[in-house]
Amino acid sequence: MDSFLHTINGIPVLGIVFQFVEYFLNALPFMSRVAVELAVPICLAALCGVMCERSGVVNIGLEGIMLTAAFTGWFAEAVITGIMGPGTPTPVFGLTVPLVLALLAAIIAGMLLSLLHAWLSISVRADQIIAGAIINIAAFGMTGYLNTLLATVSLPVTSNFTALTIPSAVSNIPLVGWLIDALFGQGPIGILMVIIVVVFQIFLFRSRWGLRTRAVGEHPRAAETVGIDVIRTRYRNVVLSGALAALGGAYLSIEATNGFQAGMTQGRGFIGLAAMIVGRWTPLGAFGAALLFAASQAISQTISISPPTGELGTLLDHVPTQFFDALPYLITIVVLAGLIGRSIAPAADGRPYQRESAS
Amino acid sequence: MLTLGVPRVAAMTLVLLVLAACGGSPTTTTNSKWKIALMSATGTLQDHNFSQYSWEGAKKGAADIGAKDPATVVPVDSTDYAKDIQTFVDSGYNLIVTVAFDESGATTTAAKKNPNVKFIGVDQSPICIDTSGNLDTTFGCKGDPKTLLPNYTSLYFQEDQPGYLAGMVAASITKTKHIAAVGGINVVPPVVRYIQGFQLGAQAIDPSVKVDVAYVSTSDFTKAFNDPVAGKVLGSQLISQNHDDVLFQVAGKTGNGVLDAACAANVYAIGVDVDQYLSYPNADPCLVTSAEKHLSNAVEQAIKKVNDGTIAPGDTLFNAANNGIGISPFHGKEGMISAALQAKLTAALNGMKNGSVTTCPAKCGQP
Amino acid sequence: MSQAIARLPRPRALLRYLWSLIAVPLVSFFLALLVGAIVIILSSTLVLKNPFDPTLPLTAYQALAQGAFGSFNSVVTTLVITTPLLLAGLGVGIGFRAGLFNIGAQGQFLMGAVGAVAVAANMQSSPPAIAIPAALAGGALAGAAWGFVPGLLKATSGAHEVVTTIMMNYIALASLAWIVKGPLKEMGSNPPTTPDVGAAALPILIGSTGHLGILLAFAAVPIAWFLLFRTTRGFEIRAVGANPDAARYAGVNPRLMIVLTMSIAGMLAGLAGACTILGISHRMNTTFQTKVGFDSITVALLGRSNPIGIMFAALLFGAMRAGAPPMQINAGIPVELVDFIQALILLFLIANAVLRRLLRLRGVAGAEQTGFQTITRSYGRETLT
Repeated sequence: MDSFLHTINGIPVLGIVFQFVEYFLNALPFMSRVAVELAVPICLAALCGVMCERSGVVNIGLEGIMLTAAFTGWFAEAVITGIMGPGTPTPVFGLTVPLVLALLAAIIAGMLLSLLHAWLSISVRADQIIAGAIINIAAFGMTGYLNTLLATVSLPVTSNFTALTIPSAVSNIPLVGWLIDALFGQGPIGILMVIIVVVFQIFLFRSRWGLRTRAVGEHPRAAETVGIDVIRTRYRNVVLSGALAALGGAYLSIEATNGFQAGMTQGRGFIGLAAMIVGRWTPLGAFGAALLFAASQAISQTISISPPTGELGTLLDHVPTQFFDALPYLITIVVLAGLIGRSIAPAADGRPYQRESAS
Repeated sequence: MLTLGVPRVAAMTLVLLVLAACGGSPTTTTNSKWKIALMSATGTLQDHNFSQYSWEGAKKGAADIGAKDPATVVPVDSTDYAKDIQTFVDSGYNLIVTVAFDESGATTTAAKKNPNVKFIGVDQSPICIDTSGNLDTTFGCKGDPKTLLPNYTSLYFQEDQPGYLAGMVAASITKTKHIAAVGGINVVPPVVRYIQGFQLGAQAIDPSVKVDVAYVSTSDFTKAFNDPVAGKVLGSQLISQNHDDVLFQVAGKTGNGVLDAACAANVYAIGVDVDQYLSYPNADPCLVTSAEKHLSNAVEQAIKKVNDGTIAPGDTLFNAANNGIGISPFHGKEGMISAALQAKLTAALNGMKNGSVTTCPAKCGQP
Repeated sequence: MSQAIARLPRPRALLRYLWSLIAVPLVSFFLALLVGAIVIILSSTLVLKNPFDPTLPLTAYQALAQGAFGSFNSVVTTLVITTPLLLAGLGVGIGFRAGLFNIGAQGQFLMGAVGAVAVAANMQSSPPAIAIPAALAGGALAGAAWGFVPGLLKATSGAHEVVTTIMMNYIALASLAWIVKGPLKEMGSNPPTTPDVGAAALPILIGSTGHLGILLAFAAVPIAWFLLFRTTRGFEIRAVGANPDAARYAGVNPRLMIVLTMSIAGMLAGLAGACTILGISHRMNTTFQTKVGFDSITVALLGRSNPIGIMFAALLFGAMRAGAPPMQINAGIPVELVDFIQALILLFLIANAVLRRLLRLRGVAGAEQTGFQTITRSYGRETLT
């Protein structure tokens, strides 16, 4: 086998491709885990976008909702820990009472911001992009402001959710073991994301709620005539979607790491917006797009921490390291322009709805 | 659209004008002639790290000399540096501390322009000026800052020395013979020096230990120093794929994520710049020590010396010889440090003091 | 009715008319300051456990206003900060007019700065009269190129500009780092830094920092206005934004307009970057970053994509950004409060219908819904068929 590999790897040009495939397959189990970890917040943001926009409300405030939830989650945990003590973490997921309450607080904060967005977009019939921008700027300002003020206050030490350890018997199963390890070797929010993607996809296309949502997003006037309450459906979707982006934000501050930093979302909400569009406004598509982006990031990270050897290594040495920084973004553009092309939003996306009787 | 949108915003600008007209500048009274101000690195003051501890030092220094608590400003981006320093000068501040390696240009220019204002720069050496005392943009550095800019002192640290000590600790406690240093970005000289020292220190203990060096980003500063999630993910992969069991973070807040990764995987971590056992208690379970530069103390002493009039202008180096660097106490993990290692650490520290231990390669600070 | 108006003295009618125009923005602004004041007091007492101090917001706002307009120098600072916001805001606004949501001002700004410094570094020995226009042109071209790519991708493959411009922002960051560390690195610099822009540095016209770029930015306002509202191309751009199908029937080529608009938008943001590097920084290292790209989107939204509105919005933002550091320095209020207040202003403005009902402001003009929705309407819609 080795001599076979040696032979094919020696073929000019094509050999480099084989070497890359070999390197890639060796790193896959580690890389896939990284890819899913990086994809979780992006995917949750994208799912929030899908839920909003499928019902006809544009939401560019994903970044702001995430940032607010990240701050609220961390701050609530610190405050609650201060009041009732840290508690003992459960062996699986490291759940404590303050941690669970903090997650709830983060979700409520996200839903409240979404409620503001819904009110502006649906009832006030304001420009939805401006409404989203308001959420982003306000969240950036408010969390940064409070974070700077809190610099002088000493807060109790917090804990975070821990990842599930997949038994080696499972993760060593040939062919699928690494996949199970990557998808489910996560903390509760990470695992929840995988479940939400599947459930959301089924519900959106197979349930009454999904049908109504799509009807309201595509042709609200017709939906109204068959008795669907457009305003209520939109309100429900937008507010519910806030919980999804909030989960993404909470993932950053109370699952992936253990603390809040000003601006720690680092544009993940906007990448989520992009993932939603690349994934053509479907939950599975958004997950795929988020994963594609995260996987490209994982590849560049892998190349930087465990560079390939041999000819491939020599070749990659000649590539500027900044190229690998840009790789995920280049790949997204190429995939969108080359493979996916035109992504068509729900027809009524961004258009405020006015009841005929009211106008 | 035209007739409505314009007056709307114009009116608001007007209101600000009116507010400006009726405002008077706030006055304060102190019993010191020094009004101290501090400009942090871009982003935030609360980094549990570099900016924050320089600030702590400035506060202590201010208290020592009976001056008012230092005013602070956080620049939004690098184009703000000159403007924010000027704001300090215009508001009557006469002792200005600037805290980031890339604020050197703005600080040098401001020091030349305002000879009556004292400037303390952290991490900004070498001060590079031409023979007339202006900022030298061709990097000839022919001018002598001690005589040409007597009001500017740059505090800099030999980061390779604490990095070296951290490397010795890491190489001694590793079981897998794989350790890692995670830097934020490879264009910041202090970051590179820490890591170069770390590599040499590890080699000095055990040449068979493999030291992985990874940088979080090579282009994006906010990702490099302000994205703990990126640090966590990178740290986790180093642990799982390269079997590194001691992680040394040199990436600010991104690096706090590296510490989180080590704790989550039950391996060891080494902090940076300040005693992170105190500054980032979340990592206490797995933090062995921190490679420290005594930032807070350096800034405090500099402020006191400005007050005494004994401050030396130009580049002021802090290293083992003047106790400007070190590694933090082990905080309950003393058991991990064998007597032999302790002896070696002491010997290395003494060697640094008398110059017999080399802690940085020839191209020190350059990747 | 006409008799009633005739009986009123003219100045009063005029005043009433003016009030009807400015009531909503004034009220929005004061409400935003009021909410900001509540936040300041609450956070000071609850978070910092300071004694209750009702004058703290006044101190803060006073420092803010002083920092923005309090002296000649602070006015100049405001103008300097306004300059890139205005140029990039015009770019984003023209994009909105064509129904394009350009989130890429950030990357276009950075590439504009790189383009300018690249030209300037190679023209050290030329006279300023040649070097300055050349460097500005270099920045404008580099920015235009960064806008051209998303435009072309949208026109040819339909790739959504929201996605491509976000991605181009990050690619710009990586390109900048590579260029500064590689081809443009000044020998001996560590951290890597480009050469000084030398002869291409913009001359200082007013105060100690007021550079030529200020004039350029304000000159761009009437030009952009003229382009949009008085030329055929401008009409075509607006037609594509308002209704691409109708535009197509009228003989406009939407694909061409998309590429053209994105390039113009990129050019303006690129100029903003060029002015910043040539007028303020003079050289670039890898920490050269900016918030202008995202602020300019808000500026364009606040100015309702109208060049004159954008000018005032940029001035407002410039004033608040100029006043924020003095506010932090003199009143200890973190600069981020300014972002929050800006968000509140926008909030009260777009919720003006509610505001008017609550405050019983009768006969006061509100935002007309129709003109307002050009942006969002085109966001999800298929522009090309």
